[in-house]
Amino acid sequence: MLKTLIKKEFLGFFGRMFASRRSKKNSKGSIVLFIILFLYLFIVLGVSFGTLCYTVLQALIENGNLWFYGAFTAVLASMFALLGSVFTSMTQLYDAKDNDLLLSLPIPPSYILLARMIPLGVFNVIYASLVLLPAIIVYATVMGLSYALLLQIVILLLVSVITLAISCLIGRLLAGLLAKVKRKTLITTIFSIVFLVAYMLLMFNINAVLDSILNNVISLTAVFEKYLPTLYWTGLGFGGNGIWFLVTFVLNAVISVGIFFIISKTYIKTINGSKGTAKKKYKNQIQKAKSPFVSLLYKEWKRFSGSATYFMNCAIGVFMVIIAAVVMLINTENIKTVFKESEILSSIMPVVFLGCLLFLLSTVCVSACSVSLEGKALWILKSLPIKAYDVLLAKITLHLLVSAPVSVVVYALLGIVYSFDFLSVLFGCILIVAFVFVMGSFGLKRNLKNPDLEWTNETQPVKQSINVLICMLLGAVFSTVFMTGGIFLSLIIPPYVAIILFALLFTLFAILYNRWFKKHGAQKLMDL
Amino acid sequence: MLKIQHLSKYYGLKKAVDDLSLEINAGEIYAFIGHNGAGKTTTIKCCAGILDFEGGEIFIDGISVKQDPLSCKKLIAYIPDNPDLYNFMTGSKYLDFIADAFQIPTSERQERIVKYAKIFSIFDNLGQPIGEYSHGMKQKLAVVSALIHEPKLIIMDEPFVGLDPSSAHTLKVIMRELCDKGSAIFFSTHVLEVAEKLCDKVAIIKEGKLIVSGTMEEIAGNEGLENAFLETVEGAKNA
Repeated sequence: MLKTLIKKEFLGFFGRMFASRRSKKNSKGSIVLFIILFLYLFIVLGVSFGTLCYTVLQALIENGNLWFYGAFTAVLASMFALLGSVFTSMTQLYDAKDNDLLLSLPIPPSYILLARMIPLGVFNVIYASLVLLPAIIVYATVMGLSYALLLQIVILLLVSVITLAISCLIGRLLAGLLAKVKRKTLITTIFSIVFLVAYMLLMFNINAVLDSILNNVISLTAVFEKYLPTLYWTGLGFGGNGIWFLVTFVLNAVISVGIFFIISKTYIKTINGSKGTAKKKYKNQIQKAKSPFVSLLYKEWKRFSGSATYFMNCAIGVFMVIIAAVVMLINTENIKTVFKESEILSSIMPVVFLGCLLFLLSTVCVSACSVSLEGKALWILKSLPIKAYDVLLAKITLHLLVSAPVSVVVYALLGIVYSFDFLSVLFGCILIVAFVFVMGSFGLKRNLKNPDLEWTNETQPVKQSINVLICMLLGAVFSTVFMTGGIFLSLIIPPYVAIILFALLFTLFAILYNRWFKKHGAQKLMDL
Repeated sequence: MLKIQHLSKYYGLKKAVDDLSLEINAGEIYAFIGHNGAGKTTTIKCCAGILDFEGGEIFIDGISVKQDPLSCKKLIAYIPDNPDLYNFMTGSKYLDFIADAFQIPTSERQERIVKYAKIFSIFDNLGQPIGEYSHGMKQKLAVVSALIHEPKLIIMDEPFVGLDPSSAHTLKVIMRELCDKGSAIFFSTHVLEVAEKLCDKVAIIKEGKLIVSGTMEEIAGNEGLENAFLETVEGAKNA
């Protein structure tokens, strides 16, 4: 039975990701595209983590504290995996729509839990590998191949398992907590933002943190030995110390099984506890009439703001824009000094800033899953006397409202602080709006062509969607094209003219997309 | 009010509805019965403008569903068999959304929402998110949302599933009242007793084809609708 359940989970995931809407069979094109995108991400992230690991390893060889390498990479991998899985685990385990159905069948709840945890575990292995594989390769390259390699691979799996157990435990605590409060989305969002800000602060200051750690590694050894022995032992195990590896292995296994046992014992209670808060009697309120379009937009906003999964995964770029703006405003003088080193650098500053902003905005993909999120309630939109084009326009407008105003304000503010010329600021703002419209339209078009209306929990159309992945990567390509093209053009023509040219190009794309939605997109929606 | 002419609908190569014709006049309650998979829901969805169809025509109050679907949708209300609503909205916000779609003025919507929500005993729950509603409450909300724009034609797919006895009774009373005021109702059901007591006319569909249609007296005769249904469907099978 467990095998069948696990198969169901994986089939659901891969079917959703690769299935063609018409044939309902896996599309080869989607699979190939997914593999290419995945390899691209793996290589990009792997190279950056590998570089970091190499720097750390060299420093540790110099000061003779090699044990710290394993502990450091294990912590980094755990943090990375935890960031990726903590909220998924909550929705995957406790908010799945088919929980009631499965619990009504003669299947032990622990099997259901385990079947749902295994795909999460696979993702954790992927997340942990992004850090630990480069770390292992760097270690083997520098220190030479030894039997420690085998231990390191097992440590990679151990890190994935223990991170899975911790993320499931946090998910369990969050589900229990959220069952008792009214403003679930707000609390989840605050929790996510705190988590994200802490992570980004660490990443922004990674060099300073690393310097500080490496300079104090001797005193840290005593602290780790006394207070965090598991990490110390992991570090020793990573270096090939078989006894400490065994201790780490047993300890991780005991902790993971213990957490799984606790979660499985309270699984049914947690699921039932997450269904509603105290009921408050409704008091009649005046319902003011709105136009159908405004009402559609309001509906999109309610869905977006009412789901922490949707909100946090699809609008993370907006938070990054704000964080980046704060960092750039705090470090104004330092950044100005760098750009004033040469006249060329100084002149391309508006283009570079704009390129970075567009790159961050490419991670906003509100519209790319908005059709899928209609799910089985799509009949409502199809049966109401509203234009299908208005439905699509409301989805793009939400995408625009979520990302454009903040970015325009940020760019204008940076333009004032960094003394850009007026035309660069003006057309930069126009380019931002056009870029966001094009990205919103691209995501929506993809989702219209390949929607997933049969999902059982929201993470499936939001986090496990190839539409979202493609949308993000295309945005990254667009922003890179702008950045390189803009810098190149700025060497020949004034930077503001380069920005105008790109603004015109994106506006043209936006017009073409709008025409497609009017002519074909509306009909596509009605045909779903 | 509703005229279906030679309707044909395919799913791939499978013919789900085959040359079906029906006419429902204002003031009539029309039951649509048949086995599971006979084509009832497909026909109903075509009438509601949710599904496109390959052959034939559907007119609502003389307007073609194919040519002018928006005008048709303004005249009708559709209640599906499974009330999948917007779980992220509260009941009142959902009704507000539906009222906006039908452009019902503030004063009228207020009065109707209060009236129907109280009749179906969900007024006190309107402030709760729909995700916290039971199946029956969602069904009641779907019914209320269908009534607030006072449609000329109500198309319902198994409307009594999930409703408690008192709400089912209320719905039947309202259906009759609406028809007395000049609306028409076309609904599918498996509860033949309800169809027999409530409906003026009935149509029986089998494998996408209309087997028989007419007034309840003509179809049910003295033996009752259940016997008539079994005889008709079995007869069609043997033929």
